[in-house]
Amino acid sequence: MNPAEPLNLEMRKIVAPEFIFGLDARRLALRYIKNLSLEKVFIASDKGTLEAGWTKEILKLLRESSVPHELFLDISPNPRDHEVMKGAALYQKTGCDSILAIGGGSVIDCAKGVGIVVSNGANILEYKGIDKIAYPMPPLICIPTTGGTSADVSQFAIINDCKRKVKIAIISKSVVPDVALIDPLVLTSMDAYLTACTGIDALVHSIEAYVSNASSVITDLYALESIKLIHACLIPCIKDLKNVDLRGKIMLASLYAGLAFSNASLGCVHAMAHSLGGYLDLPHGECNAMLLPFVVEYNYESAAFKYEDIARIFGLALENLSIPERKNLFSETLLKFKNAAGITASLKEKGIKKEDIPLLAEKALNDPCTITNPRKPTFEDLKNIYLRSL
Amino acid sequence: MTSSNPWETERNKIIGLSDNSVRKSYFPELQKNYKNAKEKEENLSAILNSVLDGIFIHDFEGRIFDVNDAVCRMYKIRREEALLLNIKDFSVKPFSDLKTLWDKIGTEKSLIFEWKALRPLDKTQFEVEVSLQKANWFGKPAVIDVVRDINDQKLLQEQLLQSQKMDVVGQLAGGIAHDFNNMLTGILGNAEMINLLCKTESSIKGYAENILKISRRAGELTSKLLAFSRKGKLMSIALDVHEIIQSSVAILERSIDKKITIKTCLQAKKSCITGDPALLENVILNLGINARDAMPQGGQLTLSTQNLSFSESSKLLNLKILEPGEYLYIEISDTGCGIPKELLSKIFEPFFTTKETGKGTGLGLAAVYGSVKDHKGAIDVYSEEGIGTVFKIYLPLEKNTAPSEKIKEEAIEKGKGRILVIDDEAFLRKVISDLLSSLGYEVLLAEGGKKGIEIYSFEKDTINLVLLDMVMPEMNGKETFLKLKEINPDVKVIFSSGFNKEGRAEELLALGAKGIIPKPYRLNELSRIIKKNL
Repeated sequence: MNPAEPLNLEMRKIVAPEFIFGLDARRLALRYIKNLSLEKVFIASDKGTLEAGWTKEILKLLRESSVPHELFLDISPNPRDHEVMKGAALYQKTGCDSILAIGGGSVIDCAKGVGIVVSNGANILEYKGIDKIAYPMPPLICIPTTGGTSADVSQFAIINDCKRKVKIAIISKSVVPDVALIDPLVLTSMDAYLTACTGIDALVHSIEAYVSNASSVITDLYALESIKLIHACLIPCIKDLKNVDLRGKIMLASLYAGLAFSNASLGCVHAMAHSLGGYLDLPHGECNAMLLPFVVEYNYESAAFKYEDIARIFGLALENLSIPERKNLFSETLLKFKNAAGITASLKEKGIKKEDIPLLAEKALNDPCTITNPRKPTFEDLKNIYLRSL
Repeated sequence: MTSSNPWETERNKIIGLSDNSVRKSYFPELQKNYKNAKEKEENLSAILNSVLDGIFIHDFEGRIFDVNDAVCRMYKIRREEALLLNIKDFSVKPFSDLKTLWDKIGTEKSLIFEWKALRPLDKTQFEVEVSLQKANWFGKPAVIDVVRDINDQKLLQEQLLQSQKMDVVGQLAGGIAHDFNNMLTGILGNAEMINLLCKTESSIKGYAENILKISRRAGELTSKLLAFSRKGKLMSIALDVHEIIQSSVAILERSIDKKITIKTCLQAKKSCITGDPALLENVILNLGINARDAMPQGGQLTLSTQNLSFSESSKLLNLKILEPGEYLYIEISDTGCGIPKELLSKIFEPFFTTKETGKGTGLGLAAVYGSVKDHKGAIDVYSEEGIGTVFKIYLPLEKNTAPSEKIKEEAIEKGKGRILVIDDEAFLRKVISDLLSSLGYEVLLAEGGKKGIEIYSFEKDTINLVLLDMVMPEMNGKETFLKLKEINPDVKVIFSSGFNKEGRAEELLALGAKGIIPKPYRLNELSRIIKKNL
C-alpha cells in the first residue's frame, strides 16, 4: 500500500494456521504428531499422491516410530459428501484422535469434512455456509501436494452435494487446520497440466481476493505478491517441472493467495466454478481458468482501480486507455496467459451445453462466493457469463 | 431470480463483524466431564470402601490394580503395601490353582467357592468365601475378587456340629444308663438286704459292704453318664454358685498338691441360679481335678466369676447356643500343659481321655458338659500348649436371688403303712419289696401300669402310697399316675426313675406327684422319702 494514502481502518478478522514453509517441511509431520501426543492418526490421501510416493514416505516415517494410524484413500478429485461421511465413520470406528491430510485441495477439503463431522456430528451438508461449526475439530495437519489450492491454510472447505449436484462451501475459523507443512519439493511430481491448473487456481484466488468487497490492506498485500510470483514463474515452471526454485515460488504464491482469499473470500469465478464442478465434476482449476477472463470483464468497472493494479503486474500500460479498453486488454491478457499455461479448452469443449446454463447459473447465484464479488450478480448476469465462456 | 444469501450479514460474518458466532470451546465441557468423572471415581471409592467384604481388583497375572479398606482390615496390611503384591501372596494355595479358577470365569459369568486366605505379613491363615467376576478395569481385562471372612462362621458351625454329635451320643448313653441303673438298684437292694440280715460282723457282712461300695461307685458312673446325656436327676432349686465354688475349692485344697495355688476372684454381683447343687459341685471339682492333672510340677488354678449380659448380636446367640439375657460367667483356668488344638473338639466326648488306663474314665468332662447344658448354659474352652487352659462357663441367672436350703442326708427311717410297688422288672420288685418290708411296711406288687391300676382300684382305701417306676412298657409311669389320679385325686405317688425321658421332675411334681427318687437309690433315701410322704 501507499503510506501516503489514507488507511481503511474498518475492522477485519484474519485467520491463519501455524505453518512451516520450506524444503522437507513435510517430514515434520512426525514431530507434530509426537508433540501433540496424538495416539492414532487418520491419514487422508488419494491414489495419485500415494503413487507419487509422498504418502508412502510419511507412512514409512510413522511405522518406523510405531505411530498407530488408519489410511483412507477413497477421495475423488471433487470430494463427495458420502466420501466425507465414510471417512468420518472409519475415523470413529478405528478410534482415531487426529487427522493428517496428504494431497491436493480435494484431499484436504475431505479431511476437513471428516474433522467437522467427528466433532460436531450430523451430516457434512448441514454445515454449508458461514460460521455454522460449533466445536473445533480434532488436530488437523496438512501436507499440500499441489501449488494452488491453499486449502492447507484457508477457512474454506468445498464439498460436493452429490444428490443436488452442487458444491457447497463451508466457511469457518473451525475449518482452519492446526498445522500446514508447506514443502515445495512435493510439487516436483506434478505434471505440466496439473501445474498449470493449480497455478491458475492460485492466480484466481489472489485476483478474486484482491478485488473482493471484503478485501483489506492485509489481504491485499498477500494477494498482490501472489499475483507477482505467479505471473513471473508459472509459465517457466510449467516448462521446467523439476526446478525446485520455481516450484518454491509457486508454492509461496499459493500460500500468499490462500492467506488472502481465506480472509477476503472470493467472487463469481469460484461461484461459477463450484457450480460447474458440482454439476459436471470438472476439475476446479480448469473451470477457474476458463471463467476468469469473462468474470473480469463483468466485474471490471466495479473494481477498476484494483484490476489496474493487477494489470500493471502483468506488464500492461493502461495510461492512455479508456476503461473499456483497459478491461478488454486485461481480460485478453488473462486469456493469453491461461492459454500459454496450456489450458486452452472452452466450456463447450468440456461438454457444457446452452441448456445447462440456467441450472448452472442458479446454483452459482446461491454460492456464498458471490457475496464478496465486487459486483452483485443477477441470475441473468451469470447466465451471460456462462454463455460467453462457452 | 435472486440470491438466497442475505448479502450484508453474510459478508459481515466473513470479515468477522457478525454479532454472534456459533463457535464454542470444548473446555467448559471438558472441565464438567472431568469433574463428573472425578466425582464418579470418588463415589465408587466410597462405595467400595463401605463394603464389609474385601474387594481385590487384579489382572489375569495376579497384579493388583486396587483393594478396598476391608481388605486392609481383614488381611492386616496397608493399601500401599497390598498394591505392591501379587494376589497369590494372599492365598495359601499356589498360583497355578488361582489360574485354573481364572480360566473358568472366561466361560462362567461368576464363580463362588471357599478358599484358605493368607495374611501376607504375619502368615496367619483364615477361611474365606470368594466370588470371582470378570471385568474391564479402565481398558484392561481384570478380575474382581470379593472375599468374605467365614472363619468365625466355620468355628461356630463346628461347635454346633459338635453339640449335635454330643446330643446323639447323649441319647445313646442315656439308654444304656437306664438299664444299668435298674440293675444297680437290684444289686444295691440285695446287698442292703444282706447287710440288714447279717446283724453281727461277719465276713458275709464284709462282702455285702464291698458290694454296696462298688455298686455306689457304679451308680456314680451312671449318674455321670446320665449327667452327660442330660437325663439325670435335675434338682431345680435356687442356689448361690459362689457358695458351691467356695465349698468345691475347700475340697480341692485338701485333695490337690500344695505346689498348686488356688486363687478365687468372685467378682459377680449376682451369683444365684436355678439348678442342682450336686451337679454343679461336680462340675467345679471335675475341672479342678483336670487342672491339677495338667500341672504335675505345680502352678496356679484360678476360679473367677463375673456377670455378663448377652444381647441379640452375640455370636453365641447366633446358633442358639444361648438365649439373650443375664448370665453368670465362670472362668476356671490353669497354667498347665495345655490341650493340643486337634484334641480340643474331642474333650467333652464321653470316654475320651488322655490319661493312662485306669487313671480316668473319660466321663468327667462329658458330665461337666451335660451338667452345664442341663442348666441351660454353655461351656467353651481355650487352650495354648505350654501356657494353660481356660474353661468358660455361662449359666443363666436366677431372677429370684435367694438361694434355698441345702439338702441333708438322713438316717434310715422305719414306718408303718401299705405301699403298692409298680415296676416291670421282676428282680427290682423283689428287692424293693424286701427293702420296704425291712423298713416295716406292707408291700403290694404290680408288674406294670395296667396291673397296678387294677390292684389300686380294688385296694385304694388301704394303700397309703404308690412307688411307681417311670419307664414301663405298654403304659408308662406318667400315664399310670394320671389313671390313678382318676381313681383317687389324692393318691400319693412317688416316682422312681433310672431315666428321665418320660417327664421332668417339675412336670410330675406339678401334676401332683409327691416326690421323685432316682435309681439307683439307697435305703436311707427310700426310707426318708416314704416317711416324709405318708
